[in-house]
Amino acid sequence: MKTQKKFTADDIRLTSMCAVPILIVFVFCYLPMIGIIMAFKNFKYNKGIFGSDWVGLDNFKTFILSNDFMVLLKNTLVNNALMIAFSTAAAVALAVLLFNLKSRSKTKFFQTVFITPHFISWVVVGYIVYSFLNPSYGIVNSLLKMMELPEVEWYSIPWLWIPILVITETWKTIGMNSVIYYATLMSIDESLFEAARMDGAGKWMITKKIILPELASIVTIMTIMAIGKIFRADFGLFYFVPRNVGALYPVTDVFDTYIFRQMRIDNNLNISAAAGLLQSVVGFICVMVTNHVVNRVDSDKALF
Amino acid sequence: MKRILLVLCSIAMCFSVASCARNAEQTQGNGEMPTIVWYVPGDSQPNADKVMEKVSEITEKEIGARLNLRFIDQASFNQKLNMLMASGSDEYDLCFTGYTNVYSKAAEGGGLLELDEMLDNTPELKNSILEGVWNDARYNGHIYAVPNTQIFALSTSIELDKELVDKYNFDISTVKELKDIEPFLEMVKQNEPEIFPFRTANSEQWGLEQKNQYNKLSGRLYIKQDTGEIYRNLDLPEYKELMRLLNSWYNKGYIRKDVKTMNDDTADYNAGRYAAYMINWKPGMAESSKQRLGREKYYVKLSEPYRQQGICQETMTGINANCKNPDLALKMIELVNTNTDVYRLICHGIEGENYEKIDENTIRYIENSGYNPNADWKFGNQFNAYVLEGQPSDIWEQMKHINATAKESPLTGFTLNMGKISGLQNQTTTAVAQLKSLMVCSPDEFDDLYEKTNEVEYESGGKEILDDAKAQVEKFLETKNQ
Amino acid sequence: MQNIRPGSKRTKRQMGLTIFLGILCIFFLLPFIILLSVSFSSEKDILLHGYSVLPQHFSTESYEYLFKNATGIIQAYKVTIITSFVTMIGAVLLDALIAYPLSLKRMTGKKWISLYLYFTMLFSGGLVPTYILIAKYLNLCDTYLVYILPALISPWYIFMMRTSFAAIPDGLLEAAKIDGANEYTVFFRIVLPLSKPVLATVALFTFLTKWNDWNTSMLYINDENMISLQYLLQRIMENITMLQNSERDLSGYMSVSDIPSETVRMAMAVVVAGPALLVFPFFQKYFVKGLTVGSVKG
Repeated sequence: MKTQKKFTADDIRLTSMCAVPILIVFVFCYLPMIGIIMAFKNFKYNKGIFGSDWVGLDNFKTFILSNDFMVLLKNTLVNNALMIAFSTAAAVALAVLLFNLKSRSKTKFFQTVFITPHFISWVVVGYIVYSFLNPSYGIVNSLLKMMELPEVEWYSIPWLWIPILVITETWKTIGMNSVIYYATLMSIDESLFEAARMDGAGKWMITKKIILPELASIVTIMTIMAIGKIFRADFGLFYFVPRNVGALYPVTDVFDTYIFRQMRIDNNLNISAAAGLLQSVVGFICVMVTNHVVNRVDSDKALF
Repeated sequence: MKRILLVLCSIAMCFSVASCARNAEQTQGNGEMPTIVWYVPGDSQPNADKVMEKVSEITEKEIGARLNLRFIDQASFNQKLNMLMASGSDEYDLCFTGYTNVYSKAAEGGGLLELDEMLDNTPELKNSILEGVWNDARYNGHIYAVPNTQIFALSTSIELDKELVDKYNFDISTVKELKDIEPFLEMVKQNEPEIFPFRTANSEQWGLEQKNQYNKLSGRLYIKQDTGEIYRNLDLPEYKELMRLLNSWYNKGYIRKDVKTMNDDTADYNAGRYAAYMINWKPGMAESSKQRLGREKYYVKLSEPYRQQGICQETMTGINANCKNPDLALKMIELVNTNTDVYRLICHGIEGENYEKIDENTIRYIENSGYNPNADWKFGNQFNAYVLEGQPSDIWEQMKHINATAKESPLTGFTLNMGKISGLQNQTTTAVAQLKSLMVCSPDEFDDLYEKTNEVEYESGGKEILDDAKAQVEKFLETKNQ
Repeated sequence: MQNIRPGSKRTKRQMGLTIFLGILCIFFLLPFIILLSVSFSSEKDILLHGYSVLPQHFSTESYEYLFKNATGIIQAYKVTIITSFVTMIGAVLLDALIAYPLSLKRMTGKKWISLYLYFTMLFSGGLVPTYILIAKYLNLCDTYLVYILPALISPWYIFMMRTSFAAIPDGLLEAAKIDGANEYTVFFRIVLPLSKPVLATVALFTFLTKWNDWNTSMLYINDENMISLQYLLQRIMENITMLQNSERDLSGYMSVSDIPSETVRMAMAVVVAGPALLVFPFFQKYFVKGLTVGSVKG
């Protein structure tokens, strides 16, 4: 069956299904990639992308040798690692709790509530966080004042923003993430639980012996996937939530926000092109490696 | 390769059918007469077409071209122009350049046409602007845009709320420098819980201009006003004192607690919640704030009017490097700057529809008339504009006088080449962030933090920036003295 | 599980769990309540007393300010709804169209097509080349197409659909083919109807991404009647800031009224996010299924 492959009419139909999407991707994604050469050029408006002078790796050198680079690297990796760990743990916990709730209507209601934050843009989330932490009008400082505790300068203490960002991220994504784990739990064979209960296992025992092991594989896959994207930071989270406050850069400035600032505010097209390309290349390698690993663990779940 | 191109072309054709039709319509509408397209930052004006029709009636007669002024909102102007320039667009001829669409960057990047020799063909334009100002418009020795004439010499002043000053009988004649207002701030602090005594911007501190000492060149570089020497502000004892003063004011509660994070405190300012503020002084300030804020203010001048180098580079009009008809574009700039009818139409609209005359030179805007850019300085020589109701009638004369008599910087004509520096400045962001902490730290920490900041800034690029700037100035002075 | 007696240990545990999750819910919703309450507060209260969970004096001044230019907002709503809707339909159809062949084991070269798609999620040409392509070569400035075309294909959603389609039993597809159906018939008659959850999920996601998009307007639209809602509101706010801060008019004349800026910001957030939040519960019943079958790669 496999040896002689005939190109049937259906194969042509299948191929034709791919044609339009592939064309659109080609036009809007691949054509502009010619612009990647900007990273190796000293771009001048009047000379254009092709006419500008080649500068080799100068743009990369400038970027990597700048003091910002190490800060960006550290922030991107540390923040992302913490977010992966924390939001995964929180989502798993929530899924287990929801799973233990026997009333379906209640489960549905809670799920709806927890998913809600997913649907608002980061700009709006930024305003929401601001309404809590605004030093003079914010709710948190009003509370602190009421309890006669000293007020906190939220937007000037960088290290505070590691937990703030992690919590914000978790708040926004926990609902969506827990759905995935919840559904995995729903697919566990009911007889497993019956058997366990017969053996007199308590809630905690069941969680430990059945639920968590069942989740382990999906959690592993999700984590590996997330690690593949660790050099990409969620731009909205890091730009709109800390309100682009310079004092917080030591903790909140990541590759994506840096590239944005270089391009939009400083009109520095060379550096932003170089930084963007570097991030893409490293990200690509990471994804290829993780995809390989996932292929080994569970080839069904690999991307390609 | 050929085949790929063919495919691409056909795709492009498909996509552009609709828009082609639209474009064709636009260009054919006006027959043979060329149209000069001009991008300016500002809210779009519903009745702009009507005004442009009137303007074009004159410009057709004078230079044989029509004018199409297009507004792009302030918030996206910089980005949009950056994209237009980067794409090598030739769909526009003139653009605003200055504080947004920054002149030095646009010129450095090659987005603006060099005008040095072309200006000889427009003598009227050349003569309408002071020689010193032309020199000041140079970037790397060349003129890339025409400055919009307005007041170019500023004095540093302190703005004090009149109501509060009168209420607490504060004698403003005792104020010679910033620190002298401390007793006033203390009284406000003690008695007015809803008012912040001192307003200071979240951005980098200034105030070195007091007593005509220093003015800013770029980033943390300052010029000594009498000698033209370059310093890093962190190296200056005056700067340390200024920061220490602000630090002590912060700790005494004269400066709001959230100063570091306030991106925009204008709402509070407009609501009259500040008692004192440092601001550049120019004629008509008192009348302006009365009309604008509904509050009266005192202004105490701390320095004499002084024309900093590069001040005219805040508001200019440039020609697109890819402009198809640069001579005509320059003629249009000339006309706008020298023909008061054209200029006043652009600035104020049509008499009777958009404004009404109070006397020969004074007007009052008609509300909701569909055309009121309300920013004469964006278009050309402000002194040709009408005076608005409430402004002193001789305001333009006062300004002209100040422009002509003010001391000018020894570095007039010098523009810092940002080529090397802008990259270095990007490296000092961490240090700059710390700079802002200087104000809000405890007094005990101040000296340590200052030294640390100084060190970090110096190490992370401040030294190279200073050296580069100094070398540039030296070179400039050498050629100037030849 | 079947016979829960009142007062039993299990009921108590269920009660405790419900209460715990209920409290958690309140914390999740608190931010929205505050957002709403600030937007209905009077500016003066905010400046004097700060934000609060309930407005001290109910006021609609911020909404009045926003809707002073009501025709503009309504037009922007129209543009946004139409373009988001068309994009949604087109994107779901095209994403599904390519996801189906990719979900079949016998499809040749699907690995390469996946890589081809995935590559674009990591590498992009950047803003300038994209702008040049769209504005100069495709000439899409000031057209509705510029909102729609670049957003039609999303690799991520294709992968979601691919996984979901792969879960459809092969036997079903084979049976249809034996009955003489070709691949297109199978796709439209069997695959799509069986995949409502994932289609609905992708539809909603695409709609919301488009709804929250302001970049497109900023870059490519000059015609006031064609700007999107997000951009309009963003601009209202930024222009206030820039106008207020402008020191360029060195003679100092501007007309700046007292703008309720703190409350307007929150009102803006409500106006922008509100409709999206109202829409989503209607899709919710598809989520659990749509996400799980498809989003394992999330």
